[in-house]
Amino acid sequence: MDEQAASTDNNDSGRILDGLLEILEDMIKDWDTGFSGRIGPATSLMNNLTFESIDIVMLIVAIEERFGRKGLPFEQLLMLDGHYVDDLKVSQIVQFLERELRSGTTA
Amino acid sequence: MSRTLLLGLDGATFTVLDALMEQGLMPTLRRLCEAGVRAGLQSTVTPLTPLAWTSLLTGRSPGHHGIFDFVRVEQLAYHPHFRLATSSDIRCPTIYSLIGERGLRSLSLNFPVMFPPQPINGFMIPGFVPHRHLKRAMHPRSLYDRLSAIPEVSLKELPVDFEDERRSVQVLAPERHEEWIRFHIRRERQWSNVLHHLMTTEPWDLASVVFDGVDKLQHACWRFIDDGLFASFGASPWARSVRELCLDYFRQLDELIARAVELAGSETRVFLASDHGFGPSDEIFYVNTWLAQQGHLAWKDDAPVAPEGYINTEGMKAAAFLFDWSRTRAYTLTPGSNGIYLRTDGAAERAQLARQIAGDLLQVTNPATGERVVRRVMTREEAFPGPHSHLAADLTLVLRDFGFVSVTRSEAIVRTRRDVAGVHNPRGIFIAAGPGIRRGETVNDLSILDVTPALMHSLGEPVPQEFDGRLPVEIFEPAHAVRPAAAVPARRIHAPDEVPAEAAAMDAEGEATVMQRLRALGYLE
Repeated sequence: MDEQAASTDNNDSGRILDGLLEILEDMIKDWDTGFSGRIGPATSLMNNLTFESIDIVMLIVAIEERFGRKGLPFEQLLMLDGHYVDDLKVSQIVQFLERELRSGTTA
Repeated sequence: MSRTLLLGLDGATFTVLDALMEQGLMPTLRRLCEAGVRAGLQSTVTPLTPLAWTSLLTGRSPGHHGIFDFVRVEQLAYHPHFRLATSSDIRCPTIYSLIGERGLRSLSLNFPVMFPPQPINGFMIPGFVPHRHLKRAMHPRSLYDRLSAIPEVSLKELPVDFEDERRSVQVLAPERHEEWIRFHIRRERQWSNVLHHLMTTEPWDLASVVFDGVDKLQHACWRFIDDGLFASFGASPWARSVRELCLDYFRQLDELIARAVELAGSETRVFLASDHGFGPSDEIFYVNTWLAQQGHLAWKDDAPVAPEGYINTEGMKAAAFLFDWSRTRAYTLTPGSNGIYLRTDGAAERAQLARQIAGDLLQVTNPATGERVVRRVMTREEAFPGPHSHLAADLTLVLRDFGFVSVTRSEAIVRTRRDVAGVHNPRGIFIAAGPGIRRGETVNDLSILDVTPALMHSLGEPVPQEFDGRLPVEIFEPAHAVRPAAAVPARRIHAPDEVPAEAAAMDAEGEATVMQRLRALGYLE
């Protein structure tokens, strides 16, 4: 990877992280989560932010709106053997979005 | 132009309401019928909440507005999956945006598929939004804090979410009936309080709200609500108490209707409509189990057999994860859509498989009764003509009782239900009353697509040419029906003095047609 491409990737990554953090902060603003830290890549949606499955559904809607893309294969991120994963970190969503938004393929 | 109030009663049917009116339990509804016009209201091909309300709000059929279910099915490379259907999936403008462009203000409360809220000229709180997401769902957002400060409004009691919806169409445990009914009585009152607040503090031209407890109660409590059925089993004190609570729900709903109508004032036209009707169902058709038996679908080895009476998978686990996709070429993902999707290569193979499955489905019978279970099978082009029909399931089933299929794994193809359940029916209700509306008339059934033109006309607005319904002139007094608004395309609405010659010609033609219709109806000599 050349220097310019690496810089572009870092910018994308930063942009995606910023966008996701904005969504999450807005989403949980009035929730009683007991989470006092700042949301960051290591934050767990389920354990720290008390996300339930319906909240994940709403998060997907917000991500689709924010990044203007539909049909991203979220189940690759969220499902394992037919069940929702027990935990999900912000960094995992960012990595997923980096990969999928870059690939430009949707359903 | 008249201010217009639209009260949506989700799933309401005259089968139930007529009996309640006769018993004196819904005096306001009775008065509205006597003072206005009533008709049966034919729902969308699949009488399901998201597509039917979207049709009513857009004046377009599902093939045009693009909503076919609570979810949007996406055909991914390895297997399909679904997402929540949202407002951004609606491909046509709603009545709120149409009249908003003309400077009219709307209040929109509890309509499904309106999330995320669109920036209408007015106020919007979409339906089916969990409480934790309600603030983000309101337009404008400041409405949340404003409502939080009102003692009569409890925002926690407004929402019903998808898990509640799923629960209402599954089997409701006996000990949960009372809680379920009381919950919906409280919810309706909360929506009424919000409506009351906005109607009294904001200017509005169109005020609209959906009371959806009607649907939720009828799913779970049909046998307590239907007079004939109840008489056949309702001897126990528990059954009588559940029925009494159901009747109390309708009694209180009538009070809320009265409150809204009174607040709107005598110069406001009032419309009541349901997205679909309701009726009894005593059997369940396990469509995926049937597809598996026919060799079109394979279950994973660990796919569980559902508990008796269940039509959906439990929790948020998707039916898609119960199938062995390497050996599945036809499947159903959700009960409400009654839709079968096909996985084949090539149009010819797809058409052949569709024909084969459709033909075989029509032969399925309930072994207990010998009756055919499937009334009709339609291709998506037949069921949902329009530019977005390709987003719908390949085949849509209409069951004998108009009920939902079960997507779960079962040991039988068809089972008789232990208790009769309430299921959707295509014939809903329509009532209109107020200035310029005929009095004490029952007219032939309307289409749900006719409601939007009626609302536009009531508001003094032109009826867009591409609307799929018609202006139901027969509900208006002749003086109020002879000048139908200009037919112009949505999103290209001209000010009256800018109507192009072509549109003016269409107006004249449209007026001639209406005059002809009015003569035929005896309104004009």
